[in-house]
Amino acid sequence: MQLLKDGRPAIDTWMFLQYVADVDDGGDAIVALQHWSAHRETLLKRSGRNGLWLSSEDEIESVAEDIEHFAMIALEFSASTDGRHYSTARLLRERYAYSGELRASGEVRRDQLFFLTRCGFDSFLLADNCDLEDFLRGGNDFSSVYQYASDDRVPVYRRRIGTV
Amino acid sequence: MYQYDHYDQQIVDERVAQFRDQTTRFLAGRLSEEEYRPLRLMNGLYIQTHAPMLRVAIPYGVMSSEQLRTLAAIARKYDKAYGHFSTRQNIQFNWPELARVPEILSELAAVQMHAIQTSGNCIRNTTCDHLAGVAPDEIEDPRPYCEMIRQWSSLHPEFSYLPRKFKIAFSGALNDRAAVAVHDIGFYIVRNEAGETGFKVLVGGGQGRTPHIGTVIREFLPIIDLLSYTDSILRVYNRFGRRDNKYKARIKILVNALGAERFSLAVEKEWSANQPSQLTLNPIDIERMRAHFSGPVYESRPEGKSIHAWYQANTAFARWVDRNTVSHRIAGYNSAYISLKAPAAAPGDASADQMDVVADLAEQFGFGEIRVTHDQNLLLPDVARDDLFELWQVLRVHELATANIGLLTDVICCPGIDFCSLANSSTIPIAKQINERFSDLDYLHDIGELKIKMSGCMNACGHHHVGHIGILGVDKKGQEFFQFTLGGSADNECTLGERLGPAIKKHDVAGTVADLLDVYVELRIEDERFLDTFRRVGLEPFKARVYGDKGVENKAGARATA
Ligand code: SF4
Repeated sequence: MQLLKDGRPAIDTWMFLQYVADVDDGGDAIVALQHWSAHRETLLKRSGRNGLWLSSEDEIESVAEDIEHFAMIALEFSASTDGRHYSTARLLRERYAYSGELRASGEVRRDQLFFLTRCGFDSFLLADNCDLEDFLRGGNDFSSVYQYASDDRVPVYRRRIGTV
Repeated sequence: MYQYDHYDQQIVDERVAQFRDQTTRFLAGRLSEEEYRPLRLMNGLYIQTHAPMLRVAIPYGVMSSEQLRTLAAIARKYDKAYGHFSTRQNIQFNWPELARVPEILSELAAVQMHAIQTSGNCIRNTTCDHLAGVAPDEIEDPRPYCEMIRQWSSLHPEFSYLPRKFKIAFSGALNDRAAVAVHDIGFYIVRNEAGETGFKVLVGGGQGRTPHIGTVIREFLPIIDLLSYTDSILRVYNRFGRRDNKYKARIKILVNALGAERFSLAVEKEWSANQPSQLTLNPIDIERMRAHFSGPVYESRPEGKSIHAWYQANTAFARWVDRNTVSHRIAGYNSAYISLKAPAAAPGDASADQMDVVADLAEQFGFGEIRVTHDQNLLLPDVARDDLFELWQVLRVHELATANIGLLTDVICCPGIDFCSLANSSTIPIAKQINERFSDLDYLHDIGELKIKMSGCMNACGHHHVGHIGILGVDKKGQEFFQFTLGGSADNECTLGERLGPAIKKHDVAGTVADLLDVYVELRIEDERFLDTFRRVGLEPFKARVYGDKGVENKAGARATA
């Protein structure tokens, strides 16, 4: 897998904990939602940073109280046409004021990048054969937008009348 | 009508470039069919029986003469010189070549048109009363709000991958001519006790295999909350609508599963959590948008004597005036329907030449504006009554003056098996069968208002559930049969049709319609419409006539009378 973060290739420092409750080596560890719920207390004592992984089915409300504990949240797209996590991302950014890394993983492709970025994703875990330069081009598809989202673009109806 | 500024133009141009690039990558093998599919669908491109089908948006059914001429030119250059107007106020081209679709899109963009979100699991073209802005029974013109929704929903970053397609309709008049109650969201403009206008909001209406009439979730939504509230409905749907089964993925299933009350509570909760919302409209947003639709300046055109003289002298003209024109909010003017249901025509089809004629007529007898109705006809919104005779004469030459609006032969019909890869049956030949059988104009006018709506499969693009007579094509062991429903209606008292009985053989469809009409003629009281008689007497007498003594036990398809 390759990681793009803030528009650049980056090293993925996150270790996915699946079989052990907890590894406290001071590093970054990411866990699935159920894992978090089951081992929350232990994980909170770690010295390293915690991350959270949500499947397409998972709802962010169930960890709403814990969001401040995560330095990274990864949202899985089980299919490129499954749009649920566009909403999850916006909720995280806009309602829960989450400012850590927000990662899209799974079926993530160039033609979704513009929308993903607008909804607040800033990192993308991509297949090894993905052409990163080509992928990044998808982020420039449009220079104006019609709606508010999690980015700082101002929709054209507000630009028209200058009431930003 | 709405005019693009440089922002709108830029967005549409960039969408063309994006799609051109996607298509190039697909043709070069860099995008798989599976990857390309959702992308092309989101731009109205289907792969159909013969060739791709491209659906072009006519936002809320309003277009200019220049736009219609461009559609005609595209039909000639890229297609077989005709186009099909759909029940959703769009136009479809059945024969374009995939590699040339980006070219078509850039020709469209040059006249402020596009195919954005005319298909796919996203928010589709918003539909609206075709008499918006000109109807005498209008509370407020809904077009400014349709355009707001069009902009807000276009390329929406959060709502482009919904569980299923999503359709929004508006009516601003007392009489619903937009089938508002059978849309995912329906907005009726209403006035509250304080005299302010706002929206009555319905959600979860729809046709397809499980038809539903929408439920009211807000009796009065202030105009300033239009976008923020719609946004909340969409968010609840995007998150909680079913994605495991495409037949259960429409919002109506979610509304039904939760119950209207819990669904509405979820929306209200989402909406409150977003307050204060950036989406709340400023009065200036609203004023600016309304200004786009402030309408033409009508010169005073008192009725001359000639219209009355012609009306007296020419029965064909009189019939056309009675049937195909309706009153206008401005004295001396009418709106005139242009029937796309001539006896030999496939319902909703118009040739490129006819499109050019209509574009010219709209300039000559109007302000260069044409509407598409959801009954698959066209409309010139602003014709001075004094010009009607002249208009009619031109229409007649081009087979556009069939005086059958709202009558039995104004059949609404999807393309069916001739063009659609999902179809179970043909529809166009059935419409022809009906047209041939009922060619007697006096009979048609005697029968009066009758909406026959026909779909070639359960997807219900021909809106058969809300036809006074609905006809649905079904496949039985490789044979085409037709399932009748009676008593559907998409007007203010929206009802879904009741199933008549076992499906009917292909050759007996028109005969069955004739039987149904005989019953109606025998039982009607005074000037009751077919629908009124049906509502009064119920299904039984009709059923008895069609299936005879054998009744419902009759084996499917074997009509008692051959
Ligand atoms: S109703 Fe069925 S056959 Fe007709 S256009 Fe729709 S999908 Fe095709």
